[in-house]
Amino acid sequence: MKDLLPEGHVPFLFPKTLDNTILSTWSTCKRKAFFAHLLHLHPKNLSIHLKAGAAYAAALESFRVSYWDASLPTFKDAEASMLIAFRTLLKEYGYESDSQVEFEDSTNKGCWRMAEALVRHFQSQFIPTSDAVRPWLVDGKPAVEYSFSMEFPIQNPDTKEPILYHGRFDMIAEFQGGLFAYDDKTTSQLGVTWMNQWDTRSQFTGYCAGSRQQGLKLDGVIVRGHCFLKGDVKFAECISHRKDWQLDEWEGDAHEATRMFIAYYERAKAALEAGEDKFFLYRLFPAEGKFNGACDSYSGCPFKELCLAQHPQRYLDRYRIRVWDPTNPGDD
Amino acid sequence: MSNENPMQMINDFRKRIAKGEDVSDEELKVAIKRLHDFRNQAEASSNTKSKTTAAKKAATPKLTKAEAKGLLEDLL
Repeated sequence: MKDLLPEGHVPFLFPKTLDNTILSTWSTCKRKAFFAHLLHLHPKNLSIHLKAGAAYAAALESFRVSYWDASLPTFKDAEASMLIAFRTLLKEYGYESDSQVEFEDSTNKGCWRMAEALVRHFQSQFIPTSDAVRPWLVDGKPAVEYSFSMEFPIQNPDTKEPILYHGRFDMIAEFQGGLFAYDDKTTSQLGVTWMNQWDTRSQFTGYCAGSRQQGLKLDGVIVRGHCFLKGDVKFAECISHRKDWQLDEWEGDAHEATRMFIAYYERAKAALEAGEDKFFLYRLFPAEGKFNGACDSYSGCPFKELCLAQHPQRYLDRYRIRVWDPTNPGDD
Repeated sequence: MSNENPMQMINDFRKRIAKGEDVSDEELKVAIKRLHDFRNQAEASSNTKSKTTAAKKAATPKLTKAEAKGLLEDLL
């Protein structure tokens, strides 16, 4: 039988390492999780939201490292740190073609809008000398891009080793005598809905649970919103606390979601070994997004065109293989 | 360079960096200053801008029913 999947596909295996992206995808729509994390399909056209967000995050991080690392010549030098952050943004955003420039300039996440936000963030909104939220310093170095891995008490169905859960966040911040996970979020609107969404966000509860397992007690999370409007850039801040019982609950839920993912995986693996085509295993994973509205949330599910087609295999040429590695999200 | 708006400056920098060329600290400082000042200037002129846009929209020519019918017949 002709292989339906794009070139470079990998063996059908359960992920060795999970993260919030994988578990929340699984909990949102089993079919989406199958396409993304068992078949490793990825749309060929990279969303400008992802590209712009990654470049902006890299620039924010480079400013913080430059400004707060006592071993660097730019320590507490806001102007020099801004120059480094600016160069990082330009380099990470890149430049590919004239048509891309035209597109970018027509969106709220064009490179120059990101540059404007970067300048306003550190020169007007959250000036480092007066900002009450500061990086936690360990041996004089700011705890930026903090990551952890923790073992789940669940065996990987292929390797029989414990499943790992990995988390990575922008920095550990000190605020009013407490320690918090800190995350920057780009958005297109701020308001009550934006502020209220973080109290139950599994991503952040997972950060606190993972840090607790490593012996680091976090009080919660500080989220800063960077809002790109058509003619303006706005900022907001939300402080969301986490209690131990919430971390316990998160662990139970994350373990249960993992066990269910494994059960579906093992059923699909048995079907594959019985001769079913790998791609058509999708039929064993319900398209739950069609029931809960996830197909259209955010900028839309990248697999929507597969789920809209009676013969989705005809659209596979719009995808490539990319294995999402939680421990190295930038690796493509 | 001195008369360019921030968008043009940033795109110029991106092109040069992608080609492996250098962008000096002085040039970046000018862009950063301009970005810092840009929003205030934009807000000051926002009323004028919106009026111009409105005037352009109103000036868009529209086909009458008879003209549209004639055009359709020509096409068929």
